Amino acid sequence: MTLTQDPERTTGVRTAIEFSGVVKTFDPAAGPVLAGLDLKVADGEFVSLVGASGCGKSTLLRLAGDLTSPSEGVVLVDGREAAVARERRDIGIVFQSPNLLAWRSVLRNVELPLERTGASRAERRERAMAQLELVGLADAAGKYPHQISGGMAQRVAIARALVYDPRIVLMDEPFGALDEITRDRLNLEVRDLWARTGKTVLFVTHSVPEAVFMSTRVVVMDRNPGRIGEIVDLDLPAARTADTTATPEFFDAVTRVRASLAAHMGAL
Amino acid sequence: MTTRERYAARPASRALTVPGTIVLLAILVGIWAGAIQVLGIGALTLPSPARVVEAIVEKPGVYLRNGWRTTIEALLGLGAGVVVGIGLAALVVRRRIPRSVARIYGSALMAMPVVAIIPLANAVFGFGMLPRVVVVALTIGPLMFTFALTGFLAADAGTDEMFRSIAAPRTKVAWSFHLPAALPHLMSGLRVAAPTSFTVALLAEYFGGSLDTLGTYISSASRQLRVDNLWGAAFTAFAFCAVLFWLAIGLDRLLVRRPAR
Repeated sequence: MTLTQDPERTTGVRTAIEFSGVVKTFDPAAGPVLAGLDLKVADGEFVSLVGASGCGKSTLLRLAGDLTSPSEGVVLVDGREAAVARERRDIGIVFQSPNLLAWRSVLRNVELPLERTGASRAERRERAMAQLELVGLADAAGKYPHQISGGMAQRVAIARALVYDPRIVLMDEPFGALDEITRDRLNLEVRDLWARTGKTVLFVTHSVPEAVFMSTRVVVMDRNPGRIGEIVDLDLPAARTADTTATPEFFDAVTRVRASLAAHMGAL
Repeated sequence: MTTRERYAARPASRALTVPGTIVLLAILVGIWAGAIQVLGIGALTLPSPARVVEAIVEKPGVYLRNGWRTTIEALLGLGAGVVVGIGLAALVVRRRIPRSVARIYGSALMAMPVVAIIPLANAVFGFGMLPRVVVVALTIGPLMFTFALTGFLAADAGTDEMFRSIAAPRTKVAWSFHLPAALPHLMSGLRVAAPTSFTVALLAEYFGGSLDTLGTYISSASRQLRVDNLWGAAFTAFAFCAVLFWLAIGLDRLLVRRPAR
């Protein structure tokens, strides 16, 4: 197990997301949710955040996506303030809930971020269809959100987040509400998407096996206040399949992350 | 594949509802005619259904022309009330203090008896069409404001964040999300507002003004004890109100997508 908070030292590639001395306080009486947090995510990495409820995982993700601002410290995305990166559409976010518009078809939901961008209707269609094909939903393009399953809806949300080709993708427990079989399948799909597109992914999850399967590094968070407890580098093979989860290396990695969680906040 | 795919039509059991309505109407008319015969009710108290039909058939143009003028006043006031009500709700929905102030004034206007406003509107705007349109707008505006505000506030916060994450301009968020999300509430408001606008216009006409409207016709028939004409006017008013209500329902079905049940 190695502890490193600077990917450039180990990977030699540039930093995609950087949290520097970040403090986030919602209610001064309750104290900070995040305190003195430093973390760097390298370009092209898949980093998962795990930790107990209330440790600030989602807040960290929201800071990177400029959905909230730090009380102190700096959040840089691609070397710019997170707000600038969001306005430049360098960031795509997949939320816990798919947040699809019920009155739009699947295709038109995916097209949404391309509207008012100067892209022609034909171009919007083409790019949205390409993303739907990427997530295996080309056949469902004409359906409406109520006509598709929860897993399909979340894949539509992923296609929508990728349609404007952001360099960085933030995923906040995107599969938390799905059944285990669907979740395992989507994990494989997202992992495959990441391998094909080379995007930087910051992924929040409550599931240790999911975090281990998906990631290049797992960030274990401490709580009260939230901060980095430990960063676990994973040495699993880059090409991962469903069989990966049955290997001794996978079990070993899961055990290490679980031990780290237990050490930092007690058993979950 | 088509992106114009619509939700399946609701399986309305029209096979039973339409004949059922007609049969019920026939029964009610039968009871009406029977009661006049059996109880010996005089024509000045309650004319027979045949006499009422006769009164309408005698001069259908008068009823239609008067009803149409009232409808014009109602629609102008309805339009103004809808635009102002929804527009004001859109302006204040994200501003806490203006929202609270607007809510107080909206509630006060809705609580104010409309008959109290009519003479005031006549005093300010004269006895033309304008004061009636103003009174209808003052009645419909707060109503639509309340429905619109509820609709805009019901917009899902998570979807709002999704729009923020894609850096959508505010006008885009309003047009693509807040307005469609509020549509069911707006259409519910319109269902109430459309027939109400006609009723309020009719009421406003009682207080004077041009004589070629349904309200002034009813007022005049009442003073002259032309009971059959009163009934004719009442049916005309009902018919125009019903048409406005059905138009609101039609617009609702056209604009609001609902999952097939």
